[in-house]
Amino acid sequence: MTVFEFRSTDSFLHKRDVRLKLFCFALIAVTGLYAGYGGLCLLMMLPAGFLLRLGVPVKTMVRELRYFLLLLLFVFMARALSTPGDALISYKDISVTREGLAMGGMVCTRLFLTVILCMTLMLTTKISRIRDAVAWLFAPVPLIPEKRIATMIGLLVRFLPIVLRQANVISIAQRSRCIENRKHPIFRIRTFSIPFVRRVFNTADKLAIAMESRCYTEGRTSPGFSSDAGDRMMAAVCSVTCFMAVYIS
Amino acid sequence: MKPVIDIKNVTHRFEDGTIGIDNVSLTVREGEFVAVAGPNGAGKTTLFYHLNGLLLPDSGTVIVDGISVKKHPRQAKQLVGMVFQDADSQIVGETVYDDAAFGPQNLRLSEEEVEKRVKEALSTVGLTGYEEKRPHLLSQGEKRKLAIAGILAMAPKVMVLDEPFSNLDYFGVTQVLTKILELHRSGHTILVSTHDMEKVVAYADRLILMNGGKKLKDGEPSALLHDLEAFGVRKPCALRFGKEVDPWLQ
Repeated sequence: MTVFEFRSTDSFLHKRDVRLKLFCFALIAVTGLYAGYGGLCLLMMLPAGFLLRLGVPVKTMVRELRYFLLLLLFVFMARALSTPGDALISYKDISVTREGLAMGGMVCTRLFLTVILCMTLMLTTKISRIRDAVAWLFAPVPLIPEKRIATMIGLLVRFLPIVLRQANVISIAQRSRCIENRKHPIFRIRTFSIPFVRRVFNTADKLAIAMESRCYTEGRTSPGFSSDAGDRMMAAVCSVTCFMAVYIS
Repeated sequence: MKPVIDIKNVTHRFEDGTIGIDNVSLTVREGEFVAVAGPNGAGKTTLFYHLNGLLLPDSGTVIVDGISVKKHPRQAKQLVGMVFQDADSQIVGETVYDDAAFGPQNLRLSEEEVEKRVKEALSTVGLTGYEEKRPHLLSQGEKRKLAIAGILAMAPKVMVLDEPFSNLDYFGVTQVLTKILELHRSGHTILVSTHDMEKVVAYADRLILMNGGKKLKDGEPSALLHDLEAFGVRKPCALRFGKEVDPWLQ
């Protein structure tokens, strides 16, 4: 189980209406773009608090996010070294500026906020509910087949592990026949991609037949949504926090 | 028992001209357990696709529970549940619950009814408690059981299982065969295609042997067992030693 996978518990956020949850998380993410350090810290407290309450170990989070944290470090360094301003440390033509550090810290904090919001959403909401909420949000938009989009999201989530496994099986089979000895990248790409694409299309064919055999229709039963006092409270707390984050910034 | 499947002179030719099935006629009565055997390319899967309306015959008729599959393919799909050879390709839900709910949702049942049917189906195949599991994390046997649950939730009259034991280990075969027999005992009509007769021969009421798209033999399994190898199907091991074929689950 990863920190980006649904955990079945009975927490406050688990019980919330997914449409409002998406709205609140989007509101926090957008507010983060306008908030300063103080505001960002305030905004960060909401998802961080929920994650800790859910009992997600900090160690696990750090381990799962290690590559993302490395990316943040890279972004921070790039900003610190490339933003003009008062130099704090200089070496030859390279200087670390006060403005660069401030800007780098701000960008990284915003990116980090977005990621822990996504993490909180994934941990507390089933993919199928997110898919249904996306379909609900697209429903009023003309010319967009929302049910088809929802089905495609569902299939993507379901079939990604299968496609990855197929890629792995092909790769192992080719390594077992010393593909590493062939250094030409085009040859290697061609020998991998042809069987891979063929298998993916074959799987897609089988899937289409299986869906048809189970009477697939776009007019299928849609899950209902309902909101209660808890949802309204979540929206209110979120709105007030966002307002305060902008205000103190 | 009244006939639940009535196939008359069905022929199907694929786009490239290959004959899928050739002038096949067959009647299956309610509650029967029919094993269909034959080598690869014998036409077993093509025949099964006609029962479910996935393929329509070039000539001949397929009637399921009094309904023409050609005229009412949607109803046929609900009446005949099909479990495919590759369970991974059949499972479309992101979770076990979602997959079992896929069929009933397509039948536009109410949410309450969908939930009720999913609970019953998962309980029947012994997957209660697995509702939130991701299907790709299940064992092959569990995936096959989930595929069966997905069909059961649509409340079909006939269950068609295409090579249900392929890619399964001993434990997986035991699990799936036990469930198939339970379903048969609960009144379902079962059609199983296989080229491994050992597992089903003691339980099947009827054995149909196919090759080259034709139905070559149709009768009691005990009467046909000695002819199996002439039709490209391996004889059960016990017969080679002059013994009776024991039920596989013993």
